Amino acid sequence: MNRIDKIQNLFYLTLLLVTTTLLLIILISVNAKSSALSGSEFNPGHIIDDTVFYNQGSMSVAQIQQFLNSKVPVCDTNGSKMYNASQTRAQWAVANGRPQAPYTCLKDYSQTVQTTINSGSDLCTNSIQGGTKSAAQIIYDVSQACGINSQVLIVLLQKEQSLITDDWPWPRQYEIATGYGCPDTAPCASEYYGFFNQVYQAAKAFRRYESNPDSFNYKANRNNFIYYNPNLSGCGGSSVFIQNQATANLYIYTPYQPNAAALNNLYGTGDSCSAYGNRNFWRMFNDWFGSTNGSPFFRVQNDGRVYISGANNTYYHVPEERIMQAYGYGTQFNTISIVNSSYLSERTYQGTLPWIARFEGGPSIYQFETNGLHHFETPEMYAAFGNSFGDEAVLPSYLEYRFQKSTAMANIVRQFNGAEIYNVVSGTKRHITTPGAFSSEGAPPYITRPVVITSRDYMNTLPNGAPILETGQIVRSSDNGSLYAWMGTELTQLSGNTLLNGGFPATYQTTSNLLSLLPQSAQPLSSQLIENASGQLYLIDRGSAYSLNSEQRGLLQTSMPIVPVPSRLLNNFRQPRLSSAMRQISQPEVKVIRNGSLYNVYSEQDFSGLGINSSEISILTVDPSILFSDTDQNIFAPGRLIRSNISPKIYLTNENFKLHHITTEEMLVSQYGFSFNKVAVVAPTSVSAYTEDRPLGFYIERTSAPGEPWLVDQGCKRFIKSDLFSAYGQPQTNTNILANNIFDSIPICSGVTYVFRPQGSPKVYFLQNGQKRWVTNESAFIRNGFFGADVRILSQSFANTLPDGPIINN
Amino acid sequence: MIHKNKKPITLLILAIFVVSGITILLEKNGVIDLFSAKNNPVEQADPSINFGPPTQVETDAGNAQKEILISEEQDRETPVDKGLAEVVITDASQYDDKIEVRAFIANVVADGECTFDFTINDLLVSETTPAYADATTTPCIALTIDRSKFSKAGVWAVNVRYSSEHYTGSSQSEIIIQ
Repeated sequence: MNRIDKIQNLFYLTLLLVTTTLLLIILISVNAKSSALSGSEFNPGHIIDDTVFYNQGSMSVAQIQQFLNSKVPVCDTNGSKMYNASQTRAQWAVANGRPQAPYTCLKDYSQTVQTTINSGSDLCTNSIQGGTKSAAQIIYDVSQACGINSQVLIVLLQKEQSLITDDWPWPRQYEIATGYGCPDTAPCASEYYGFFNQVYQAAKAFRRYESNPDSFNYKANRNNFIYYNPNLSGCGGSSVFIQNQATANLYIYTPYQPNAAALNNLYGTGDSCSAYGNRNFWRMFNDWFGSTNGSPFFRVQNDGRVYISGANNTYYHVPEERIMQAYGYGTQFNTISIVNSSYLSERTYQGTLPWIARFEGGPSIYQFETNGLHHFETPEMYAAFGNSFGDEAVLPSYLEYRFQKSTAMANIVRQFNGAEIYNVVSGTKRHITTPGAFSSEGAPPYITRPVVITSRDYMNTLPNGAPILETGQIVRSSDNGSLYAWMGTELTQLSGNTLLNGGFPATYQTTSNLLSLLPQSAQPLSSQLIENASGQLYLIDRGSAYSLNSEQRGLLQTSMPIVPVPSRLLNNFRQPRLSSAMRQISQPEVKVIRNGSLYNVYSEQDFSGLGINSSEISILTVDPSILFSDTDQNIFAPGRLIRSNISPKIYLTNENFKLHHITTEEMLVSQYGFSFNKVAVVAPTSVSAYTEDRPLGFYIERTSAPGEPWLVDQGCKRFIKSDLFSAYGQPQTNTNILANNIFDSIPICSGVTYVFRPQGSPKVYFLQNGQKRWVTNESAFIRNGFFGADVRILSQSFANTLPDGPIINN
Repeated sequence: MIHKNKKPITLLILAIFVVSGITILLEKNGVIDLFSAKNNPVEQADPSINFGPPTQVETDAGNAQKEILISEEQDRETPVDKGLAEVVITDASQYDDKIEVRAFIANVVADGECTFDFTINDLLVSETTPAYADATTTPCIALTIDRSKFSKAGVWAVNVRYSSEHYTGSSQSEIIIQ
């Protein structure tokens, strides 16, 4: 073998070892049975739950048979296995005078039994039919007749005589299969011999202990002194609080507890003071059938009602699945044991299981919820949920560790999987109706307090209390539609058709009965005018709170009261500014506030000139004329041309309710460029608000630029510089001051100069001191320093307004 | 001629044999369980039941039990004082206005009678209850008597005496009467 071959061999051998090791690790980790059970888990006061012990629905005959088969895969019927190095079992038995082959394993065992009639006077309530029966059938029949878990009987057979796993059992083992009638230190009583007899007597004994709990040497829910070993004085014992009847049963049957040495070596032997009966029972049950701490839930066969074990041999009816879940069904516990009807008769019924319970001997009372147990820290908190001491269920103390503890119970509760939050007070749940109420209400505010999550079903058991509203919140009665506002300390009904129809935005609805639990305001809120804490006035209308400015406030009619409200009431509304222009929803007429009075806007054509955007008109349910002092006079946009239907006079409307008479058609059309077609014919009363100002002339100035006169001529306006004022005869003293919109509507032409020529005339004039002086010839024009470009063409009408001055001819 | 190296194949086959052998060994000894429970619908119905083969401890239990049987048989052949009953008092206490004493006879399964004697100084209160043979012991039917039967409070001695056709014995304890 060369060196390369050696390296290859080493590699493959290493690969083989690694692969083998990995495969074994995987196999063992997947399949190896757990030996995690530890003696430290043994609780001498609670070896097995009652509901497990008495569960007669745990296994079928087939399952029992299958279980027995599994524990003796091959029965050594002929004793052919080696007993020692030189002898088979059969050989050894012959040589030592022991029971000889063939051996019958329990899985193959059968026995002819007599019919056992249990007429009710016996402790096992059901009869057992006679016949030749397998061991599995006998175990099952006794289990059903006596209401003892067949698994308990199986473990009993193993712990007493190892019959379950023995692959060459002796007849003696069947004779005293459950050790019934066999004291630890004395011969057995022969009248109880036989497999069926042993199983049946043992089951009956367990029933007897339960039926007469006061008569036997160990009693549940008491301290009992239990020895470690039949060597009483040499080994001693300890006081054990036996927590349930099933555990008491085991101690009556096998009256010793394991000592520390026995528990420290759970699968082996302890010391000379050890006893193993109850240790082995507990260990074997755990190994074969799972935890002895089973579910506290049980029911009687063929009866759908579910119960839960209480302390001291009591039980409660579980009224619904949700409470079962709160008490751990589906999480901590997954089974409902099936018990004999006598199980109930031997216990005290305590009524329906409430949502609250304590564990016997423990100081705390808990609210049971699927997310954990919430303890009540104070009597006040307990009472807040309407609980009285004594209402709570009392559960066995051994169940306590099975439950997960959660936070302390709080009276701010949120429903599981729901958004609703409640404050529980005096046994009622008060719905905290809005996030705002949650954050701002309560003292201290609810949002700062701990919240617990409870099931909806529990919350349904609490009657509703008064809702918790946010200050300023609007609520509606679901019975009659009435609206209310929560003012912080009292509930105020909203009344008046205008208010009710005005879109009050209720954010919560509940019954009148619940609303009546809140303090009520003596006076309803009937005014649409409300004032917040800072004095801002609002008009409530159609879901909006229109803020009023000082001018609008000043115009209010005093007959409408102003009601102070919490500022947060306004949070219910959009809060637009009340426009100066408004109209009632059913009316086309628009009102506008100008100069401290309410006027009718004459027509839509006036909107623009009055600065009214039609989309900004406040449309109210209330008639503005009722709200405000109304002049009932019209207002026109500045720049409107109007004529009374009884007069030919045409006027130009201006701001500040002024009218300017346009004296001539020539002024109207030619100078200002207005159109006859735009002249509106109105009733004389329509302009009653207006006063006639000076007639419209050639000189104007705009409101926003006083002292800057312009000449209006031939459809446009020409600026007059101040150094020409003298030439034009001080026009700034003779202007019509026009609203900006009128002013802006007139086109601009080039500014005026010292010289002009009337339209259609060859004469050129020089303006001086308000007079026009004719410049008679070109040489004079030039000699005086005039320029042709300066000559403006103005109307003859304007020229006519200027007096003639001396001519200029040189 | 191309030389084929057959060692990897040989070693692979060897590995399969080794793993299979060890698996069979573990299966047989109950350390693992690959086959026993796979095809049985009844078993699958309840996963909490361990249908696996017995562990070594469980298998050995049968032999151990036989040794106990042989030992007990020998004990039965050894002369013992069969007349002595071992009385065990498990509780002697006052519960509200009731005095309760519980006891059993550890080494006897035979009907008889239990006598409870309470003494303090020269005072005596005596009661009797039957004792019935039970599974592995003979419990005295627990004694429950009114506190009013005790004329004074204090630490009383209590003696429980069992007697039957073939056995007698007694045990003492104390009880605080309030």
